[in-house]
Amino acid sequence: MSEYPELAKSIFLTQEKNDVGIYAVKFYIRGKPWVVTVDDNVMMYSNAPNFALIGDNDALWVPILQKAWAKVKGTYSDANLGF
Amino acid sequence: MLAKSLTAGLYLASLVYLPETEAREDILESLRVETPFVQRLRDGIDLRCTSTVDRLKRGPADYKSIIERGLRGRRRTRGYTDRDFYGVDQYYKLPWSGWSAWEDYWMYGFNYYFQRLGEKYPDATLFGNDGVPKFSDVEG
Repeated sequence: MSEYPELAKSIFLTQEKNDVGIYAVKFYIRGKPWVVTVDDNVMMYSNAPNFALIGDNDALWVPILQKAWAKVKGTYSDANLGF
Repeated sequence: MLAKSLTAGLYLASLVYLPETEAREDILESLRVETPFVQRLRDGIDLRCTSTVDRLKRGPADYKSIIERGLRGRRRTRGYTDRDFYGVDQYYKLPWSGWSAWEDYWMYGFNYYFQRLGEKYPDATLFGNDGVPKFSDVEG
């Protein structure tokens, strides 16, 4: 990640934060591209996201990417550990 | 909650370990009938698979036009809401409770709630203030 930050960026089709709160990411599943769109509504616990947190540089991409992957897998539970 | 987990575990274990006989179906049916949670679990899995397949066939939202359209409503505050991830799809797993639906979270008080990241962190950006994606979780 530290050596190839552009790889993480290239997953996102929406490259900037938007007021509407929709984000599109592209996964390759079994070699086929899948575009997944999610909103930025996430479950909070005690004033912070319950699952992945934002970055220390105020980056939102991790919880959004996690939600998109959870959508592919069906649930956050199924998406646990990234499998 | 422990009873739920045990029942669900028993049900799932029965699916795997019981040979496919009429007795197996009877046992599974009795578990489903006697425990509404198992019924809900089974229905949830079925519905989840169906809705996921339907969603994949339908394809993603037209995010470009949604972004261009901007906020809606009289106060122009209504953002995009992803209905694909709503209701039956929204299952989570807590370490201490096994399978858990969103409705179960109300049992833990109001510490759990949903909020938009854009509202919670108005100054945040997608890839961080330095524009370089890196992964380092922080609280808050």
